[in-house]
Amino acid sequence: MRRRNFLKLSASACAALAALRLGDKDVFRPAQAKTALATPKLPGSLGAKEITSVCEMCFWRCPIVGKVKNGRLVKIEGNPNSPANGTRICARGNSGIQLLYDPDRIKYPLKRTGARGEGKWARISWDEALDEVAHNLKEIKKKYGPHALAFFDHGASAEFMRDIFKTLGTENYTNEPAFFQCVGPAALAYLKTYGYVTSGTRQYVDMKNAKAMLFIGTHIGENVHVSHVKEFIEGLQNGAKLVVVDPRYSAAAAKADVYLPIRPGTDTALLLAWMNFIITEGLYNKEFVEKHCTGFDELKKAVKGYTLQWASPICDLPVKDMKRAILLIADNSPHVSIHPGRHSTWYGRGDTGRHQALAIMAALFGAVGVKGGLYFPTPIKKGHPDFGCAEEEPDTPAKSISEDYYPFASTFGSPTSKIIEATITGKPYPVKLWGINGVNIIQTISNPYHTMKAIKKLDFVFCEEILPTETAIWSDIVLPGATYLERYDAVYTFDLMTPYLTVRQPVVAPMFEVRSSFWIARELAKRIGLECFNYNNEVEFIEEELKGAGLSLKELNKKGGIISYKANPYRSSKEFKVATEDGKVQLAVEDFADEDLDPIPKFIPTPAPPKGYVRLVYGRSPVHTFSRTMNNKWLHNEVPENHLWLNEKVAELTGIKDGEEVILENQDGYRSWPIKVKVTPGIRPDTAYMIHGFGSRSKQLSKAYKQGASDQFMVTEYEDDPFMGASSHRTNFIRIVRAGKVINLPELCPPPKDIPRFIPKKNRTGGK
Amino acid sequence: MSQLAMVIDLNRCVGCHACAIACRAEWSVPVPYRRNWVKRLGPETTPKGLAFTFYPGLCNHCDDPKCTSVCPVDPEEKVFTSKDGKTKKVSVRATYKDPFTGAVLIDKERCIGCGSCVEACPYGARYLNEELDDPKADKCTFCVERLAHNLEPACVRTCISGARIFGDLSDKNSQVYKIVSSGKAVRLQSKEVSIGPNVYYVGKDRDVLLLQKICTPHERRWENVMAPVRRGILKAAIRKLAKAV
Amino acid sequence: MDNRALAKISCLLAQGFSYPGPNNCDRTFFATIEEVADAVGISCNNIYFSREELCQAYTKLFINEPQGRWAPPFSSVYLGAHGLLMDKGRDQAMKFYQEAGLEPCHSPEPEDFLPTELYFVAKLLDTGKPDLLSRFLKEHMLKWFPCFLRRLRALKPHPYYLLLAELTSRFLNIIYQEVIDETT
Repeated sequence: MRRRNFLKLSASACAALAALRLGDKDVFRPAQAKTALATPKLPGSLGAKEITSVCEMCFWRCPIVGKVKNGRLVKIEGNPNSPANGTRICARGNSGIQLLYDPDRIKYPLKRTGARGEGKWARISWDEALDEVAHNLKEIKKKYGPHALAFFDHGASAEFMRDIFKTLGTENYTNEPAFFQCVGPAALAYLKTYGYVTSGTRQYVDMKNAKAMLFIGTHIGENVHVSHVKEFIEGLQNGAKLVVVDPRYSAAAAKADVYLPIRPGTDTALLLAWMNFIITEGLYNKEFVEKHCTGFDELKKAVKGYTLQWASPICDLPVKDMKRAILLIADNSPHVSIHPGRHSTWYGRGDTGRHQALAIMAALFGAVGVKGGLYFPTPIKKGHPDFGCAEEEPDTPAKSISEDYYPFASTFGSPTSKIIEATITGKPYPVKLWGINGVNIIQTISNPYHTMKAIKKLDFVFCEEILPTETAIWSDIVLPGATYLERYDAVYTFDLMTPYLTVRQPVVAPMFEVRSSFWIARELAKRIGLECFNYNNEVEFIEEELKGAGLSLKELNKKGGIISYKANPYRSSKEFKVATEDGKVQLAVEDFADEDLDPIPKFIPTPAPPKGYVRLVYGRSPVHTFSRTMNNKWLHNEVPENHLWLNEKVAELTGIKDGEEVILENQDGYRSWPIKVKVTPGIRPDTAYMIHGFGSRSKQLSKAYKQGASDQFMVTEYEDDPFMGASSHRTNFIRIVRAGKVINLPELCPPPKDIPRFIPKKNRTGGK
Repeated sequence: MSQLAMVIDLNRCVGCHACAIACRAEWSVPVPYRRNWVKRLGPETTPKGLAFTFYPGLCNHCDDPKCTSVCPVDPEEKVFTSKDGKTKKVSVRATYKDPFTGAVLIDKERCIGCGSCVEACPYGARYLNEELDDPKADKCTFCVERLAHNLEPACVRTCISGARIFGDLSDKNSQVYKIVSSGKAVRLQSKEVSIGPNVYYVGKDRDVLLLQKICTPHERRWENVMAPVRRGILKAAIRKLAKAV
Repeated sequence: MDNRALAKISCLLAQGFSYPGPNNCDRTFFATIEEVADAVGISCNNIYFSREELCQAYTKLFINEPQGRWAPPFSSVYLGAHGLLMDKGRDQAMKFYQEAGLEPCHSPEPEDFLPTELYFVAKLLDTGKPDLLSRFLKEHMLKWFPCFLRRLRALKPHPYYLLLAELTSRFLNIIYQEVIDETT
């Protein structure tokens, strides 16, 4: 068939075709020699262009090198010049490429076209998106006052936008899950004991040089922060002894010399009994306590009643094992790492006390400011650009969320649970707008059903997101944020045992229309009418920061993108001083007493599981970051779902088999999606464990949807820590549903009478 | 003569899977295949106590690789060159053991994608990449391509706790030699399968016992490859035919 | 029909697969699509959809969709083994562009975006490069477009985009046939 017989168009169609503006003029241009796609001569990642940057697959922020070949990122490795990790990065760091090139990414600003939670969108322009967000911020502030605006923030991407909310004058400009759903209680405890945040984003504990280490619940190895794991292992290799206290035989427990499978919720009892023991046996560091601590007499009196014999039935541990453990630590003191912990939002009540007890332990052993113990940060000098944002704390309203509910919340922000409550009830005042940046609130905050209920009541909700998470599905406007591989961020300093300064810079150009968080914040500020972020781009303020460190961006890059500094972690007895009022370690915290809270920790038992149920606890996988990475193909392939760890005796008695798929039902009757059971001797009979972050409800995350079960959706009951209002995550209990039949789990470790039973909501009479 | 080898120290390994991912990234290994893997073992009771450990696995570049002997491709002479310029002529099939380094490698040009070597390996270290138009066998190469540029294997480079120790067993100053010659390291071998794997493991007794219990191969898989070989060759021939049409 | 006109049709399709805007949502545009559809043997009547409706449909099919049920319009997703962007498919497309002495101007989309590739087909038709066009279709576009079309069909998508995809499929096959005829 001759070609001229095909495709006969009418004359008018031909004319129309000729006349239509078909956008073909600006699609291609002549190839420039330098951008020619070179045939890669060297195999693998060899011969690639190298750009240094900073990882953000989790929050440890290891320095990295991106390897780019022909405009494509092919490999990520650690920055060899980094004193903390060198060429090493973890599974998530290696998988950043997958995040960057994930087709499910949020690519353009989106506007909701269906109901909240439906996930129906239309792409809009940046102008339209920013105008809408700015308009709502202004209008809602005008109508209800500045405090009606609340910001849910986490990570580097949230920093600039947080300043906008602060400048707008809302007291609710931050409620980082980093604090209220994670490290808050520990941070507060150490801040008040030692005058600095010994455990917050970072943990200043010198494991590498320790002679012994004590972990309470810390599961290093399954939670991975590269240089932290490295130092832990190096410490062990140097002969350090390890004591691990955990209801589960974690990867860390598997390396321990003494493993104590403690009854969940009783760690403080153990710590208080140990304290009493070392005081009465004279095993504490008298010199350190005398010279550098305040409140010892008060402490001695307060812990007098706690004996190992008393603790034994409570903790469900033999006295000899508890003794063996503490003697191992005492024998090696003062060069012992009493790990401060990090994720501490376990039970609500007693959380701050538990970490205060750990802080006190370290002091009693004199394990502070010495090799192997807690140590001091090494400040690194850099410039401070003036972004023009509010410096002062916003004025608080008559009834304040950040100040009037929990005495120490305002140190960290506004307690999340109270913002949600205010959104639902309008008390103490209406909260009508939420901005969300860098956190998937539905999978992060306790009782997600409550969170969804609150979102329905908002006048406006927007987010800056990278993936189409549950948060994006519930937002009115979704702003596409650039990944850490596509943007600059403020200069990053690391003040731990291997101090350094580095900067995050784009390894590749931003894809689609994603924008850096600085750009988004600046454009938003313009439209709101705030005189903020008056820099044309990030490089301008980065240069100012670097100038203050005696550097320029060019120089920094010439030196391999990172500068190391000498650490100054220890203090001689003469120099020892902490940033508390009297310069000494506070063994009893007066500030707590001033607020009618215990100045010295007491054992406050968290209720034991109701009969038929076991406590649900969760932890991390080295291959995932919270609920962020389940859609990442490489990581998903390593660990595609979570399993429920169930004690082998419990399984035997109920006929549950290893690998069997079951459904969990919690004490309030909520059920999970199917999850496979891992029958193991490595968990207590009264406890069940799963990795956090699975069971995604976002179907758009095409790999993550319905993989495993969500522990978060089982957290329908929570309690706030009375000190700062952080929400508990381990106060829920589950039983098994198998093929539609409910299985009550046998109670093999009945709690002693000192520990009350948990009473489910439905069985309570009047009030909570 | 050199023999490249690896020692994996389970005392250091935390089971973070970074090695598996770095290998995948470096060599563009498509999911669901893998050159390098991490299996999580336990917690399980052993005669030496409760153990929870890991099996970071890869091709063992065995002393007596059975995979190379089941390759049906006709042997051809190949000239090997050592690092210091010595040469050696050896008659090899499409997969062979390098006489100078001890690495077991695949010649992708000559491989016909029959999958026999994949079937033969008792450690399951090989895979047939059927995503390719022209499927080929693939596996860990001990990153010889990187070694040629004085760079360590990708898995070793990324290991966050320094659990992977790599070197040449013939170098008495190397760490691998010191550990292996101390007698403390174990090889995953059994009565049935003893082909001299050059990946060794050290660790606490309980961890090594659990590793050996779960991960020691017992099946002499290479002895049962004949039918798969014929199938594989047929498959390969059909593929070639389909292309020519 | 000469190559110039065929090139224009390719541009028309590229435009159709671009986000709905003032240049691809007016009656003239739809009418032209109808005529081209008719010419390749697909009957359709009076296509008209509001821009708003198409914006939602386009976003749902080609940008982000909460059910995970969408058809990414990038070759890499179908050609690479990982289902990712910027994979083998994109590199392949870039090589072809280079062979033609071209590179894509800066755009937000990766270089293997469907409209970009359709514009490239147009360029090859316009500048008379039948060999390159034949190879581009055989080794690249006709390898991934059928997968894209299958995936789109399975979604029971908005009829307009289904029509465009079917139309494009036919068009590409016709072009390929034409080019083979021409070169043999």
